[in-house]
Amino acid sequence: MVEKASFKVKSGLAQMLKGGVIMDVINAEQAKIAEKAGAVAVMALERVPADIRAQGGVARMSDPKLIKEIKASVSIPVMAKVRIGHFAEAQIIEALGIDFIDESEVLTPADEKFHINKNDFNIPFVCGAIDLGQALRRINEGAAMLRTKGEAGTGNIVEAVRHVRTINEQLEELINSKGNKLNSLAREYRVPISLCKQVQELKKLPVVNFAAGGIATPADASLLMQLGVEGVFVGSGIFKANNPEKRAKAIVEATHNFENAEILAKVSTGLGEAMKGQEISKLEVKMASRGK
Amino acid sequence: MKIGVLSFQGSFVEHLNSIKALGHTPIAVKTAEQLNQCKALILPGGETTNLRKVIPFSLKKEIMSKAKKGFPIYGTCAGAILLAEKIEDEISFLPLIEVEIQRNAYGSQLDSFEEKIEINAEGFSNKEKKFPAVFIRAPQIKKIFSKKVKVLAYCNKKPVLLRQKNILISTFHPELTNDLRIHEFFLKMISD
Repeated sequence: MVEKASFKVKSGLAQMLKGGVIMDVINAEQAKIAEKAGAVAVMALERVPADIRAQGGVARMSDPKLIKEIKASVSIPVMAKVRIGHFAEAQIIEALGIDFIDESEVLTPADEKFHINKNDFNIPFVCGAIDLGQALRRINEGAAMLRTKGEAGTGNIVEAVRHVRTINEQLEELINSKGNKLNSLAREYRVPISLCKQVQELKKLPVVNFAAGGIATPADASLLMQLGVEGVFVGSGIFKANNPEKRAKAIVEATHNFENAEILAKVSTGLGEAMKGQEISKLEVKMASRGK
Repeated sequence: MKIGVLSFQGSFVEHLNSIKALGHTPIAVKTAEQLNQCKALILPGGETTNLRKVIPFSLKKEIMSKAKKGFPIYGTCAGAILLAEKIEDEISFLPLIEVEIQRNAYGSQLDSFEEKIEINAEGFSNKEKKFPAVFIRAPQIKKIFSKKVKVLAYCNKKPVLLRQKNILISTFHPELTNDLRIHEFFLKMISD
């Protein structure tokens, strides 16, 4: 009997994206550039995070017209963002036949208490996390893929690095905990003990985990890959830079060859100016603090 | 035995683990030198547009010349697309099995599915246990050009596991399951 939308089918697509780069694009032309540069998927949206930051106001799901145009222009998987907790936006994206939904803190949250119950959907979801508690809660809600939140639209990698390191440290603690300690961790993270035990058995998260938020250079991608993520999202970092084609290709190559300093040196050379970037302490809005 | 898995992008870790679980030594292959240590090669699932860009020319050349001498190669999903003689609307990459294949032939991710299938080859007892096949944005075989291509399994009447001498392809992902029978079957092709 054919079984659609099982956890294996949903998380399986994320497994196929591993070792790859997922790029934010705002039109079909950019999507084609991303595909040509070797992106494994594109994120279709109206404004990249850097512009959402600069322009302010409420950021919502993109117009389905734009998402459909982008979907029609490429053969790689297409993702689209919905607001945290906004399950009606998710129903709309699912109806469009898109491949993946990002329940994203980059958009203005719709629900302060609940995330979307992702188990209700056939389309897979990726969600952001700053620590293991958020990661496990999202998995428990049905997320098929995770990413760090980082601090989107800043071109500053410091938050993504913090999130990866925090998750790594907490994973190690969880994997080595027994008895009462394990029970108390499950309570602290507000997830079933069975999920904690599954992590212990696998010795890793049961879904793929990518880096996102602030990646602007090939070296940034390599740093995060070396810290243990399985791929990267690049938002504003590509199309806010001087030479998007060249930078996109360079970040793809850096992600594939993250441990090869010679290749990294070669692809980092002469890329033109990167996006300007911002100090985290000077930000008006910290997107990573949205959605616990 | 040392078995190579092309390890740039996609489900290569899962294939490396499958090889290890069968008691062999997995080698992550990114260069022709690494390939030369191996007795066989697996091309994993992933994104075809990406894979065809990242495989270095020297490695591609080495794969082609080895394959022509009977070196066993197994491609899953994207790997199968790379091995097809003809890819619908695209230029072929490593034309080693005489079929035409179409990418994303079932539709979007919402059309991805799991199905238990029967495999008609040595080592598979379908009565005991069918094979759990996972299809993710899977391709479809549209034409078979040669009688040398043997269909080893169908799913809903579509060929999904095929072999032409030393080349094996599946449009699904055995590496996403704990069932190692297809990997085992592939390793037996080394001594054929």
